[in-house]
Amino acid sequence: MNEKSLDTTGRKPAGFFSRTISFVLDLFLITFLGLMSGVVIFIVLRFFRYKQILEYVKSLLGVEDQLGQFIVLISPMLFLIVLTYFVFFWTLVGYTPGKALLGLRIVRQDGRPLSVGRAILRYLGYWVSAIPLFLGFIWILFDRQHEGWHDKLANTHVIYIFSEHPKLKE
Amino acid sequence: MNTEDDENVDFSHSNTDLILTQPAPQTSSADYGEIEFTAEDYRTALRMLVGAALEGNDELRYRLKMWLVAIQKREQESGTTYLGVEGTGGSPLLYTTFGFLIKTANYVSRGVSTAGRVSARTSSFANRLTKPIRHSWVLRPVRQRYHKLVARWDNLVSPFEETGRSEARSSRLLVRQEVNDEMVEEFLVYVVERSKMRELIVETSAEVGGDALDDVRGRSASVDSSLDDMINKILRRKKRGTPPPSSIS
Repeated sequence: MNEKSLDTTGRKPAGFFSRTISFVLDLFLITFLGLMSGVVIFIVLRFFRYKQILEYVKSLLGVEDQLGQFIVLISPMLFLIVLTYFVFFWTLVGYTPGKALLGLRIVRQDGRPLSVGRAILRYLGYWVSAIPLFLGFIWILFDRQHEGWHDKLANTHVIYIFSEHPKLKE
Repeated sequence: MNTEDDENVDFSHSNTDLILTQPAPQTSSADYGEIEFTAEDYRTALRMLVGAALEGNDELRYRLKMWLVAIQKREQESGTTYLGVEGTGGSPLLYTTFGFLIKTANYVSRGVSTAGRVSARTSSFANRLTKPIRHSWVLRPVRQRYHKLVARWDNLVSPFEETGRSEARSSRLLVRQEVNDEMVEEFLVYVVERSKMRELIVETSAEVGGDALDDVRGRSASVDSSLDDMINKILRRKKRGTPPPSSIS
């Protein structure tokens, strides 16, 4: 893993709008990946006797509805896909494709890239931020350093990594 | 199937046509760790994916159509139905969802077509109605500006479209002629055994960031600034300066 620090001197923390747009772009990509994996899972289930597996879920969790049983089956896979997506990109390059498009990067407070553990913690922080009506995300708007609850939890911040724009040079 | 000569075709990056070049030297799997995974390899992989998607889509549609025709023919000949509506047991919610999805696709398709017709008629009517005003000398500067704007937009968009078309053609050819099991396997080994993935992603991100993207980023950052100013005004606090220098190497 590349442990080289990024010089964050003079770089402004990214604002609410850029971060929201990048997050929405990531969600689009994740949805696409989720749909593709859903199709794969469906084919695999068909191959391994779909009905028997659903019966097993029914007996194990007491879910009667067929659609509900299918959702129960694919939910862990979707959770893993989303987790892998964020952790992979955050630790490898410091930004997801959505953040790359908007020229943003996630770093630790000292400018170093995220470790796997910290990335997982930040991802879990997303849920902490989302559960109380997304208050943790809206917090970015009012926080002086533009940090959400997940940033505070993982001790990270998101900065602009494109410095050509005159607005960013204060 | 391909001849030996066909297998030596290399699809180099080009906007105009495919270029025939010398075949790359054969490498053993032990050498893979030393070769860099370049942006050109990424482009080749992308072409393969695009080609597979386009060709696969055509093939799938063709086959589905053929299968449906074959099933209907068999049912007509035998006079029996293979699977009746009564054979679809299970949750009504599931079938309601399927039905909704299929009906929605039909409605959307019909709606888009109607909207297209209506908008074409409306614009034609509006064109006729406003023609004397639009062609008057008063609006000449506006007209010129508008035409310039349209020309600029065309200049901006057409290179992308041209690249897309030529790449789609290259991709289709690549998949039709060159991709076989052996190549797929070689490619997978090639991707898996490279340790330069990070550099590749960084390089690709940098390449994606053209002027247009920088403009989008700049605008987005401007919106951030405006939002920040607004919040500061509402909360009656001073504008935040540059963050204090952190302990950076």
